[in-house]
Amino acid sequence: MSVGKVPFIHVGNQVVSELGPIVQFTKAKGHSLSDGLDDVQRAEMKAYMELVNNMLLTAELYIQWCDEATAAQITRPRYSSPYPWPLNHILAYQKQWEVRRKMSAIGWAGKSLEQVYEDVSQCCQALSQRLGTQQYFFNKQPTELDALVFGHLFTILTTQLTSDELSDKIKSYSNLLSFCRRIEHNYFQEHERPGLDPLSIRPSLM
Amino acid sequence: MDTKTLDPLPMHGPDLGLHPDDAELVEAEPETKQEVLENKDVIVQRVHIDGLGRTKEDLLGYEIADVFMAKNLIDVMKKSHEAREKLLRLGIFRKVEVVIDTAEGEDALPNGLDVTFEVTELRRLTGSYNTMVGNNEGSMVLGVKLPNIFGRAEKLTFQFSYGTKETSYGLSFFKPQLGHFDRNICVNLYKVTGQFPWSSLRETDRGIATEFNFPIWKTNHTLKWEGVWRELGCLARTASFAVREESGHSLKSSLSHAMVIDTRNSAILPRRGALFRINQELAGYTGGDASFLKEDFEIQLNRRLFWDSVLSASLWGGMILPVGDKPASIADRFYLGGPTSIRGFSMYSIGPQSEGDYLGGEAYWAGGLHLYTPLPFRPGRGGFGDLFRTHFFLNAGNLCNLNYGEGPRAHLQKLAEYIRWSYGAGIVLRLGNIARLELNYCIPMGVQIGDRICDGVQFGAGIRFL
Repeated sequence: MSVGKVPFIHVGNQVVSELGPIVQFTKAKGHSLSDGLDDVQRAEMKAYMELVNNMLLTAELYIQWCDEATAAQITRPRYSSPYPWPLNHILAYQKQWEVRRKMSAIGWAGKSLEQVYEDVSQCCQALSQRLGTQQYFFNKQPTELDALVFGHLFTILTTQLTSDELSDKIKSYSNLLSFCRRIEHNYFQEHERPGLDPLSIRPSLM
Repeated sequence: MDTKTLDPLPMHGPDLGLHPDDAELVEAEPETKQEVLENKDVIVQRVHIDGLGRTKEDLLGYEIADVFMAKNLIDVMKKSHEAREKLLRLGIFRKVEVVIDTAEGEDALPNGLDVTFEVTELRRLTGSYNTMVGNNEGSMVLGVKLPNIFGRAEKLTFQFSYGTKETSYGLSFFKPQLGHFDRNICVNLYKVTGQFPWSSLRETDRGIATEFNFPIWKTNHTLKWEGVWRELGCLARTASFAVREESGHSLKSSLSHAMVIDTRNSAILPRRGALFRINQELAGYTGGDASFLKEDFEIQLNRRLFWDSVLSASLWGGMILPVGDKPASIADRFYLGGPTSIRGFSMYSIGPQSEGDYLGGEAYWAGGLHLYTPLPFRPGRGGFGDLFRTHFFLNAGNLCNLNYGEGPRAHLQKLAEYIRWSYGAGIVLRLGNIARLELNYCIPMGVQIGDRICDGVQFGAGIRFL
């Protein structure tokens, strides 16, 4: 695709990419998930979304590209698969260099894998506490925060990595796990298929 | 003709083979002298080249060998002139002068001659700096040339262009075969960026090309292998989805062959002669993910008519056949329209399009019929006015995508329906032997929905015109 990042939507002649612009676009069309929230809640939602972006997203990038074992076995082969030789190597290494440079810029280059897992764990703990026993983060209705958290957690749970440590960290918070299952069931499953649990048997995405 | 090639041959030296007594004869009867010189048998005993620095002598042996074959004086002059041309063509000398003298030394024959070529080599390193202004973009171009680096007419060129929008560079190495300058090898490394607003596309190419040129009888052939890493992107946020889909990285590795027969007297405003060029390219069998067979040809015929006017007819055509199930990339397809193609239409704005972005087509043909005449009333004749021509033209063509399942008859039918054509008149200015400028009044016809026209006055500058 052209300059921009996934997710994107293609509406008529327009292409809108990334969560922020998509949310604004749908708001301009008159639909918003967070209409029912008051200002305090909205601010809280933004804060949690920032937490997810800063912690979970960065951790995902770190684990995929800065951990040599994962990068060599999983990420680079996956990233370079659409391209022929020698373009595959050039592009994979170029992306790796870019991500590693970004990690140094934000100070994550010195972190070890264990520290990153710890950070993920803390982030999940905060989310888990906020979620509590509710269905969604802001009680009955899902908001943009739910969409963002679901996107990250689902990806972590279903992506094959060199070790299961990351997905285990998430699974240790049972309310987050059931949150993911609930959203997947309500919004992404077309038909009821009894006996199948997508979250445990789905093969590696991407 | 370029005035440089018409430099008269400077000749020095005393009368050849004549005794001082004959000097009177010279003044009294010039016709007799001419006769004597022409009939006089001579033998070229020595041919030397003075002024060589880094050039290796074995390179030059081939170029001057013919001079030894001369049998009489006029022949010596002719062959020396030809040898001088060949030496200049190598591109390693700034100046070549010929000195024909009587043979000297112990083994000198009475009718022996010594021919000396006095050469001045080009400097080892030459640089150039230009600024260029184009479509809303300015750039600085730096060029470095190393002629004759290893002594056998090899040439290394480096060019770097730094612009407000894009940066490109290229390194080129050229080596001719000893004794056969027309057979040469050329290796290029380049990074070139281009912007194509008619398709809202930006393309960055990084590549290596190796080409091998050789003549066969009257034709010139080029065999080339090229490997390019292409990165396509969108120029604007409003680019259509069809163009967005083409964005990304791809690798093209292709073998191509081109054959050219060119008997025109000039490439820019020829007065006579013909050009036939045919080019085929096969991509995908040597790696990469672009996979296609591409053919295109160009024919041009020129004929002088009454009153210094020239009639010129040209025909272009091409077809790209994707191999495999992936369609041809937007960067490989053909485009049509514009001041250098079918006049009266906007640049490359004919054919399949999506939301105003032109996607190019898999097959096309275009033809032009031109009548060039000198300016009316011939102002500035003999000087500046000779660079201008008035020109009447008729252009026609079509661009479309073919459905390869059908036969050739269906293809021809598709190319023959919806022909776009235009006619008009204008003025052409020749810029040296390299480029030409045109200012035309055009009337486009056969316009289809989706084509963008430029009727009325249209300006064009370029190297290759339909």
